[in-house]
Amino acid sequence: MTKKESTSKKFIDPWKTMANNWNLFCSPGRPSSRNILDYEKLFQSTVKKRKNPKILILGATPELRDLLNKFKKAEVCICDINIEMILAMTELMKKKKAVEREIWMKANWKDMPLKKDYYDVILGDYITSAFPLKDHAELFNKLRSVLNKNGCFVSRIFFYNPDAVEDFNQVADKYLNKKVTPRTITDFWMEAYFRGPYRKGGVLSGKRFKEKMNIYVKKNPKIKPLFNKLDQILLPYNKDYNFCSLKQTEKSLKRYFVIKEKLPEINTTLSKNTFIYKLSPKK
Amino acid sequence: MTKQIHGTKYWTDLAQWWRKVAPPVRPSKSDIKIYERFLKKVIKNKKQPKILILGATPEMRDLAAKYRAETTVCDISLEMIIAMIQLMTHKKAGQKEVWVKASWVTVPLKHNYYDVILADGVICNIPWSEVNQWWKHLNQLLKPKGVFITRAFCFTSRNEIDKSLNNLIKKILKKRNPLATDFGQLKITLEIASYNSKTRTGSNAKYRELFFKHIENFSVFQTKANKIYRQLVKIYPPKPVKVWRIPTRAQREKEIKKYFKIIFGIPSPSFPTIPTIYLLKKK
Repeated sequence: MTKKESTSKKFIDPWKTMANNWNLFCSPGRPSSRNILDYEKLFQSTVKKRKNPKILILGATPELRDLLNKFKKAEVCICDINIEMILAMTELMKKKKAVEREIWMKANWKDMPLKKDYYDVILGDYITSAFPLKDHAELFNKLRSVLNKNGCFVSRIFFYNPDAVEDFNQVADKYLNKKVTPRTITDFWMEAYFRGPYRKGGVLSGKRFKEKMNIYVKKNPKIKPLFNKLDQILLPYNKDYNFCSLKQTEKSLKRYFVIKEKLPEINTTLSKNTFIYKLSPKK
Repeated sequence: MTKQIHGTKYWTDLAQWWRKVAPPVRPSKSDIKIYERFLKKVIKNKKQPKILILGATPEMRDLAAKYRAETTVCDISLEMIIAMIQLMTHKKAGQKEVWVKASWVTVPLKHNYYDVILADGVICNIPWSEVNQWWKHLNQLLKPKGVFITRAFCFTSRNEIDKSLNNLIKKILKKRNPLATDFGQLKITLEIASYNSKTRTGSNAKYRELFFKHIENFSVFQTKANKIYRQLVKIYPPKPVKVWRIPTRAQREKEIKKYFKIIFGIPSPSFPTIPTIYLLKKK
């Protein structure tokens, strides 16, 4: 492989693909406008008290970055382990001018070498499910340490709900005759994958999900267009997600934070599995 | 900014340009030996030293990788950080670095965290208005016994610079094919010769004026003079104008001594008349 090809393969091509794929999603895979209003409601009181609020975003969610554009004097830092993801998500921002002010950091959230007690607000969207359960304590501890004592961490957090479990085949049957749109792609993925049956250890395996898809599509080829779209986004299905019950989730959060407020996720396929939390650090 | 980093060509061009750049604009092998000698003094017993690199200089990043450091690379341009990986020997280590796109003066990194800060020729990039804040900030980022290793340029005296420029031109005129290092030396000497004592800055804007003024001291065909000038500006174009802060040696050491102790200051082997490589210990 030439040097030119190698740069392209590592940095340019993946983020173009990712940017295209991200557009195949809608809420709750991405924050809805309702979610964004809730986020703002939850952190506004903290930001209001500060002349130049310091805000850290975990991940590169374009909706959260667009929201911060209105806080002209805020110092905004974006942190993600994939620089490709930051680049890709930047393409999807509506307020591109905000990018110039942003500090970007490519680092693992639990190791980011950021200043202690510095941030007024940390924002993230479903960040805990993307993080191995065994590392949650380290992650929360890091977030607590970079937040100042009056600061807050606001995030949608996913939890397992035994009353909202769906059977893969039943969900797939429901989508068999539906037109493939960002709405059906997102909802199918949320219902069939994220609301699939709970397994001890709290890991949702991408590979296991793909196996179920393979079995189903053999008997029901009509579902193929929908599954092809999912393949486009999720192949090679090597991404696992992590979660635990509401009780366990809040127990682990409370070791590091005080739950100041939580708002429900309304009218989406993950309404029964999500709260938007406002957490203040235990110092 | 995102538009700038869209195409593969841009990334490759940036790296290709750096390939043409020679010492003393980039550090020479002998400069790196001095950096390494200083570095070894500090990190001898450390398994994984924490190193902060200001700028994206591949030689600095390779040096940190050689000692298996936990490396943070900070530059205002993400393009440079990514493009320079192509020129690193330890490319894999480059992928593991923490990258930060931010200003060196305000980057919100953890205090008392780094064992070493490495930066090649960065002091002239800091505007006079921010220089005190910058030194203070670097001091805060270092551990109590931490060090800052850097190569710095300065203004000596008008006579000395003029003499140096004449000698350099004389040397270049004698050669049928001047070397890349000759043009590197010419670039730096011309920029220092453009020193404005009121603003205490120099720039690349006066290449033509200064070069042709000094070449008049020699009997040389206009075509040859033009050829040399063209070769110079092909690698180091005079536009866009880049202004450098140029302190005198006394000014530089005065600002250093406020926050650091000068342990060593060795003339750079690649260009002994102007730059010095410093080992500075946090005060």
